Amino acid sequence: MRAETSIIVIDDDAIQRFLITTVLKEGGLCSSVEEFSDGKEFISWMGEWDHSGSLLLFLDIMMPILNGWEVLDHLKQFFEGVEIYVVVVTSSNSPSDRDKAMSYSMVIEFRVKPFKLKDAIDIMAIPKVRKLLEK
Amino acid sequence: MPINFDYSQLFRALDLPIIILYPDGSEFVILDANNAYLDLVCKSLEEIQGKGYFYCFPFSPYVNHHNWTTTFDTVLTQKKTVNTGIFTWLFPITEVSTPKDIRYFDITHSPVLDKDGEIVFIVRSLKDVTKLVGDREVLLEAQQTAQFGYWWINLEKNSMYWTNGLKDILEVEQAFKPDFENTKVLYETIGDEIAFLEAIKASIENRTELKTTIRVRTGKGNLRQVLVIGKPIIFNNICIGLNGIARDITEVHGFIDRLKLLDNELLEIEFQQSHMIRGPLSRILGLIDHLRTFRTPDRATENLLSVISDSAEELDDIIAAIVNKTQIHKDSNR
Repeated sequence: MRAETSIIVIDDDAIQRFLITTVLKEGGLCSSVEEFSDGKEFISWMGEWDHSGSLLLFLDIMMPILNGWEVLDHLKQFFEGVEIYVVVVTSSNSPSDRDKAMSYSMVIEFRVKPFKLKDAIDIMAIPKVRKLLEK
Repeated sequence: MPINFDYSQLFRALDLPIIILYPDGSEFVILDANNAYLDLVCKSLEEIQGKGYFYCFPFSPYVNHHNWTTTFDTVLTQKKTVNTGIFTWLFPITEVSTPKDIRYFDITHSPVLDKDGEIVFIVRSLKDVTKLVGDREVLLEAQQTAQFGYWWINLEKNSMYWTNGLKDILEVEQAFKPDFENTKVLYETIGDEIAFLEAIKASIENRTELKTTIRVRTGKGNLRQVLVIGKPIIFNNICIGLNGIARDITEVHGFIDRLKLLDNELLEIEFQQSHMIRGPLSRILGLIDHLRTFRTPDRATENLLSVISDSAEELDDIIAAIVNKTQIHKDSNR
C-alpha cells in the first residue's frame, strides 16, 4: 500500500483555517485536511505519527503556546531528512520574516495572507509538491 | 672685534625688559632700566632713575597690594633667583583697552651678590609669555568644550598628573593632586578599578595603545562614563609611564542608550503593523476573495465587495509601506 501525503493546516485563527482549507479543497489540492489551532497540538500529533507517507504543512507564524518558528525549529531538530514540506502562510508582510522562513530547508514557499486560489495553484505547480501529491 | 666690550649697550639692546634695583632699607632704588622695560612701563629713564621702585610704581592693577609691596621679600630672604610667576599686563596703555592688549609676563628676580654673599643689586626681568599663556588658555577652553583632559602616569616616581580639563570631568578641585591612593574613591566599583588597572598593565606589558571605558563617581557624586586613550612612554627600551587623554562620553552613552530604546520601539511597531494589524485585515481580504471565488455574488453584492476590497487593499498598501520603511531602518543599522 502506498503511503499517502497528509495535508496539514496549522493556524490559531479559525477563519483563516476555514479559508485555507476551502481553497485547498476547492482548488483540487486535496480532499481532506488535518487542522491544528496551535503548534503544540501539531507537535503532539507528530509524536504519534508513524512516519508513513509525507507531510505538506501550511503553517502560520504568529500563534499562541507554540509559534511557527518554534514548530520549524522542532521539525529541524527531530525530523531532519523526513519528507516534510512547509508552506509558511502568515499575515506578516515583513521581508525579514520571509528571509527567516526561507532559511529553513523544509520551507518551500512563503505566502502572505489571504491565501487565495491562485496561491494553491502556484503551490501545486511546484515540481516537488506535484511529485508528492502523485504518490 | 672690539676688545673693550660695552655691556651697557648690550643691556639697553636686550629685548627682555629688565630693571636693576638697589635695596636700600625698605625701598628699592632704581639704578637702571633697559629700553624694553621703559617701553613697557611707558616712562623715560630720567623719570624713574634714582627714585624708589614703589615710589614710581606704588601699586599694580594686576596684583593685590600686599603681594605687590612684598614682591622682593623672597629674593631678599633666599638670596637666589626667584620666579614670582606669571603676571598680567595691559600694553600698550591706551584709553580704550581690548583683549589684544593683554600681555603676560613671567617675572624673575635675580640677586647680584658681593663677595660676602650679600645682595648688592636685584635684577627684575620680565619674559613675555603672552603666546604661551594664550595657547594654554585655548587648550584649556578646548578641553572644557570638548570635555576632555590630559593625563600622565610616571611609573618611575609612581605619580600621576591631570590637567584641569580632566579634573573638571571628574569634578574634583583644581588643587587636587591625584595619586594611586586618593583616586581609588572615583571608581564606581572595585570591578571598574580592577578592569582599568588590568588595561594599563596590558598596555605597559604589550606596549600597545590603551583604550578603555571606565565608570567613575565624580567628586560631586555624579556617575560618568570616561573614555581613556593613551600610550606607553618608552625610553631606552624601558616603559617609564603612560600618557594620553580622557574624554567624558556620558552623554554619548546616554544618547546610544536612547537610540537603542527607540530602535526597539520601532521594531515593536513593525511587529504590530506586520502581524497584529495585518492579521484581521488579511481575514477581511480572505473573506472577500472567498465570496467572490466560491459563492458567485450577484451584481449589487459584487459592487459592495469591490468597494470593501479596494478599501482593505488601500489599507494593506499603507501597512506595507510602513513595514518597508522600518525594514530600511533595520538594514541601515546592521
